[in-house]
Amino acid sequence: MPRQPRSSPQRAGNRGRSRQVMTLAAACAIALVLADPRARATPSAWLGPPPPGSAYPAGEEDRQFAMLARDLQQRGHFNQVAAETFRREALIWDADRDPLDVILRRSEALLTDLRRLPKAPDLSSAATELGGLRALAELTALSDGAARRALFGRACRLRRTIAFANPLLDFSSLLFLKRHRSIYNHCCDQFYGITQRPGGGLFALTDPFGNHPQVRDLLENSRVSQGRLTGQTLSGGPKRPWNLSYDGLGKLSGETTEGGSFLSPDLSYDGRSLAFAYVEASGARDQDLHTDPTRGHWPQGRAYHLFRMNVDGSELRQLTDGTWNDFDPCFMPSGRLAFISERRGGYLRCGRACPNFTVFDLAGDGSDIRCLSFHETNEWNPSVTNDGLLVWTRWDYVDRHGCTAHHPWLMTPDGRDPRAVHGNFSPRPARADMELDVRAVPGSRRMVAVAAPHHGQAFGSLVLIDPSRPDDDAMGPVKRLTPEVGFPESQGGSESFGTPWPLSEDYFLSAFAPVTGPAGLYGLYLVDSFGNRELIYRDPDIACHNPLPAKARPQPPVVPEIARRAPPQESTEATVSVLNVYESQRPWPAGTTIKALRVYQVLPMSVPSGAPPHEIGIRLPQAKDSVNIARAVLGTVPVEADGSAYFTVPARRELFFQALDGDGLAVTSMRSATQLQPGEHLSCIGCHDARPQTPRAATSSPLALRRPPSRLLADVDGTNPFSYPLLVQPVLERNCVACHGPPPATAPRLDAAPVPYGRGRFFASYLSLMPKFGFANYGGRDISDPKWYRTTPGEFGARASKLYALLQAGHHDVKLPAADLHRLTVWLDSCSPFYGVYEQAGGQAQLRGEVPRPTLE
Amino acid sequence: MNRLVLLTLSQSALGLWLTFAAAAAESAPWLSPNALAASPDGSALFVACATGQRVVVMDTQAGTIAASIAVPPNPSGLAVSADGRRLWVTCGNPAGLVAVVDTASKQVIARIPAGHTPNAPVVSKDGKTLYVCNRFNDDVSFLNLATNKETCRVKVEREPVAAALTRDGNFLLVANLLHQRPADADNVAAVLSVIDTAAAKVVKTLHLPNGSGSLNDVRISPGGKSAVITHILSRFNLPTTQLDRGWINTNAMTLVDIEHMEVLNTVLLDNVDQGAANPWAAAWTPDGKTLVITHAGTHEISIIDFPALLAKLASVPRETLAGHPADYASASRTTADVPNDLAFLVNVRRRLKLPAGDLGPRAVTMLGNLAYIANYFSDTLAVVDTATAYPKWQSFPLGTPPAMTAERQGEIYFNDAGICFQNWQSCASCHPGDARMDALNWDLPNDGIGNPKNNKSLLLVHRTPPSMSLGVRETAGEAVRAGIRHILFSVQPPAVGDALDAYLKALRPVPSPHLQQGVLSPAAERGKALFNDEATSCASCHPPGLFTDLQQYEVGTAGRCDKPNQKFDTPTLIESWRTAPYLHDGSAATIHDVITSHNRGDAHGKTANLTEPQRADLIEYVLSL
Repeated sequence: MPRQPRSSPQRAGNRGRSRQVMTLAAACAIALVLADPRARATPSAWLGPPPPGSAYPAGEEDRQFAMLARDLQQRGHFNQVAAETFRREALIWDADRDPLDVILRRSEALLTDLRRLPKAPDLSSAATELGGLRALAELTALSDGAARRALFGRACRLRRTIAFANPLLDFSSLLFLKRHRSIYNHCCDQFYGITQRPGGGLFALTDPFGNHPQVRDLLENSRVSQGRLTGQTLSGGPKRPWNLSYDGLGKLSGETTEGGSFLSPDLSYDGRSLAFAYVEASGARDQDLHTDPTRGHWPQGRAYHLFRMNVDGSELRQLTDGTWNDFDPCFMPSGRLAFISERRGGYLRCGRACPNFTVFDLAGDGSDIRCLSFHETNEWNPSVTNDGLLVWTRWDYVDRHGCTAHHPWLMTPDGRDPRAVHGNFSPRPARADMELDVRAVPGSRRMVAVAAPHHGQAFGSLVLIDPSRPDDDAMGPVKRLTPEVGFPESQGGSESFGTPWPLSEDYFLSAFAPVTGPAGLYGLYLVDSFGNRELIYRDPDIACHNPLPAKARPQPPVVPEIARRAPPQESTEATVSVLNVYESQRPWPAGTTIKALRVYQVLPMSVPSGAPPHEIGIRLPQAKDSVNIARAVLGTVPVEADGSAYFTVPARRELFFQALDGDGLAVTSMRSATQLQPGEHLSCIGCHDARPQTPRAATSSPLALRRPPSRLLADVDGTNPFSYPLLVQPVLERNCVACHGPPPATAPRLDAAPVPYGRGRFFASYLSLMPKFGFANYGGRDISDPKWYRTTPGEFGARASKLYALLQAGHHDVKLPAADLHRLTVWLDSCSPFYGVYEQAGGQAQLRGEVPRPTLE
Repeated sequence: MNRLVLLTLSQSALGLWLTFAAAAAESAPWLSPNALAASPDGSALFVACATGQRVVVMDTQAGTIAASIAVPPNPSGLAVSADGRRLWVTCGNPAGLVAVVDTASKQVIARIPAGHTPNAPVVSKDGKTLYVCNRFNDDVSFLNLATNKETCRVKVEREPVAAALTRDGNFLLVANLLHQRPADADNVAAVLSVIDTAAAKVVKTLHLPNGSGSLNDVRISPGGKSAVITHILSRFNLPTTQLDRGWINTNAMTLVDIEHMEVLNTVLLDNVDQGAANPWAAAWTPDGKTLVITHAGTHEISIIDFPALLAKLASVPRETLAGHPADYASASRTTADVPNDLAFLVNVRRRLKLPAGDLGPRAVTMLGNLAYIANYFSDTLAVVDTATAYPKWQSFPLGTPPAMTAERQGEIYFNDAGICFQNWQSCASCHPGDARMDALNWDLPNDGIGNPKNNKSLLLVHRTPPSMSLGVRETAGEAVRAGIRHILFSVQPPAVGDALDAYLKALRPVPSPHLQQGVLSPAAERGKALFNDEATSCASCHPPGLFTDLQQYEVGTAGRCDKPNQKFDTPTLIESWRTAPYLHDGSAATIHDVITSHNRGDAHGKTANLTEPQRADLIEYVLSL
């Protein structure tokens, strides 16, 4: 859905909430001025802790005070999120009267926890000092604001000493990245090279927790030694707040800029190599719109490419190039790097001109690029879990609302067995819009993520995900680490935290911009689960991101490659076994017998969806914000009496499945998609079994596995790709048009006259049948109703359509031959589409009854 | 013991050990602690050291090692008398015995003969009888402690390895390591044998879920109402295409309702994304509120809130109730679902890693809330207070470990799920009992899907190439490395495969329980003649020595899952007394079945003309190898 870009991250919430925050911030500012004249001090660049005896980082003490003062006004909010919060110390307690109470309580919690850690430092003098401060605080009346404010200052200094004594901060250099927020607020557009405001670079903060911190530009003396940019330096250019805007449709405007922009650094496990993305931010300013996936999308200079170098800045090499954005590099234990790329082709489905990007990998020297995910909507932030899998964020919606699901998924490093961790079917109000920057916590099964907005940027509140907990379509596996910040967009929170680096379940390095400002100027903070946020570094002119401790870390195990390597153009296959289709989270209608599975391919949106040449069909109420998915029936395979199935499918395609009854009618249908790698054998327990379920210890091996895998039995013409003119209209011509012809006939028209509708043209028959008699509504009242976003078995497709019911009940003397009835039911089971391709030429060909191939499969 | 003592334990124990170890350093063997028992007052903890020929006595009050008692080889289990004056040590040898130790003098004062490889001693309630499981006789000895003589034996199922007595002393629960059915049967699971101690007979057999095996421990709760059995729950009817979500082996405990003497349910100890491989020993705190289970493959313990677990089990309906919408988030909609629910222990259990370097926890004893864990491969005793929110381990060396050998390192890897993707299983999960087998059929994709093969013992595997029933791996070394990649789903440095090779090459056959004083019985001698007779032609393919000619033959054993005229590798017959079921598909439960019902057309040796006594002799010989 097109949305206007907004410049301020603080305004990602709804308007009412924004006003409230602004008012509150203003109130705090006034209070501060009254309490302490230092609040007027302009923030300046500040590195690390000050020398002994000098002031606390300029402006930070007030910032801390303002943050807590604001939180104390949000008691209702804290009560709401208390049960979802990881540590209750991070909440505001009833006994907390002012910021001093809060900071003393949380400092105590921090101190207690640090003393429990392995290699715990001697904190006895800090403990004594804290005890003294607490005693003083007790003696100081709440009404004596100035005295308590002074004590707050002392508490800030003491807490800093305690926080930086953390034994997990065992590194002498902190790598990080500076960049401006993107000029466009959207989960996809924010990562296009064209939406970047030049500036920043890669830096190292040495002695980050000591007395002599120094910042060094890692690329200062580096020249590219491989690739198109050989001999050049990579630079953010001059410090200028460039005035730029992007229209969301591919066009950049504003002043001429200098310098590039950096994104997504990652450090190798040995701590020696740094990979990142860089866009030159130069060249033509229009997206290259076309339907040819081999040509890329962007003018040279407007796409991110991958680079790597040693952490000292030497051996800077360009790994990728082209007219695609490549970013989010991720070192894998095998030595290869996963990354996100637009090379798969295609666009998102919900409007504008947003190229799709998915997970790829390449060899450490930039060669051997392979597509790991053939998904047809966007993906983000691949990262390696402690057990060697890839975790990343996938936007997954088949016949669902576009803002529904971008949550963590897991797959093997060779792209096999992609599975959602949780939240793929959560109704929007029940959890964060998105979970981005998912990273495994060292020594834990849990993962940290940013609860981020859909129509915003990759910042928000930090959450901790426990994949071992059952997914309840809500917050079951998720706990809030930073409860003071609500989830942006869906819960009105602010874009405060981002790019967290977990040190343990309780300690994180994170980009952080307090709600109380300054907006978008993220500093690097040490964040703990007890509610303490300790500034490590801030730049007054540009945001700091992606803190990476410059040290080696344990390398997860290498998961063996099982997928067969095959050239991209080769047609490849994989096998699927389903042990028992009846294993399902949702109950089957009584007496259901499943006889076959129908395999669909989801076709990638090959044209920008903002102004598609035609609608595939009338939009589904559950997916009104998006173009309906063009789909193709690849075929059906049998299901054995015990519910098992074993079959071959094409690899490297986006697929979903339907379970068919004895009449060949779909009983249920996936609202998600999957894919297989060449040679993969995918094993499923059932149809949407519960995630914590293991396969039952059956008394015998599944029947289907005792024979060779079934081959897909292709369906009738007009199903691959879908074509209403080929599949349905002939049935109508044979059986219906005699009575349902054009005027002067009075019955609803079922003839093939093209009729303009919306942006395109459909047959008259389609407009008569589809809205009232077709199937396009999965049921449910709204997004809060599980029926809205999960298919209810038995209430889907032909079985739930008026057309099928009418024909079954008998319609005059119509005797539909079985083959004709089948054509109608396949159409209904496919959500009653008209077109099966997105392209202009293909659509026109379909209107003429031809069989065009989609340009992107 | 209070916590103060615990805190001081480490230093004093270490100091003492430095002295002790120095004295014994010269040719110190590996100790391999594998059993624990505490004195009735908890002041002394006895540690059986399987390969150290000793029982170490720890003074729990002082936190020091008080003594080391020399005992006969292979101490395998411990029991202490109610008055604390006697310690019984089972010694797991073919000519098995129980060493009687006077705890005051720390001397072995008597030896009671028992069966083949005795273990798991339990004292009767009246203190007059010691029950001992004779692992390779598949029976339980009742030993009269007044006369130090065996009074009777009770046959159980197969390889009894753990036993526990109900509080009233009326029933002895005996855990059998393996099942004894054909592996292609519908339901294949090891069982718990319930012996009526007065009648000295098995009065009930409790069946565990299909695929249960490697039962390692059985314990009864302090209140006497529940028993727990630790075991593996294998999903053996599925192709081993993946490990995720417990696809191959899950790790479980089965709870028994003692009052009704029936299985309450089976609960998985794994998490959905992390296995808890090789559950081994179990123990409750004296108040019955905490159940601790050791995971020998993942070197950790599970600390389970037992009342909460019982309450959660009780809250699961037996069947889906009409009008009650199912909880879609839960994998346990009914009690039948619980054994397949990898999230059942969420909120009920904590997993706690052993201290770094402590490996192979195979025994646990609770003294109050303190869990004492014996770590087989690190020769250490680890202690932790299970009641604290932030537990801190103490770990004590029981001796000075000798220099690491390739064999020992290989054995460690073999039992280590740390080399497996998500720690679901170790090599020992499918090959328990010193790299033998779980007696199950598995459908490995190495020869296609849909043709399960019976798991084979790894004894002599390097000397009997090729590997696998169809010989798809030319050598055992190749099979070891394929197993790491395709069964453990991991990539390991070459040293791991090399060490595993060394361990497997060092395995030695255990003398058959069918031997009489170490030699063939008269019947076996007669059988030997038949075996070597050209008329039966057994020896032509199973020639003496390795008892395999290393060739592949079509001997009419192909089943419904096999290609017609499929040839199968000729297995060795050494240790065939413990490798049932037989044939490539495990379809023959006994050698008798092999040479009768499964010998179609006399293609697998000429046995049709043998008389039944001749067959018995032939079988006796084969089972004596």
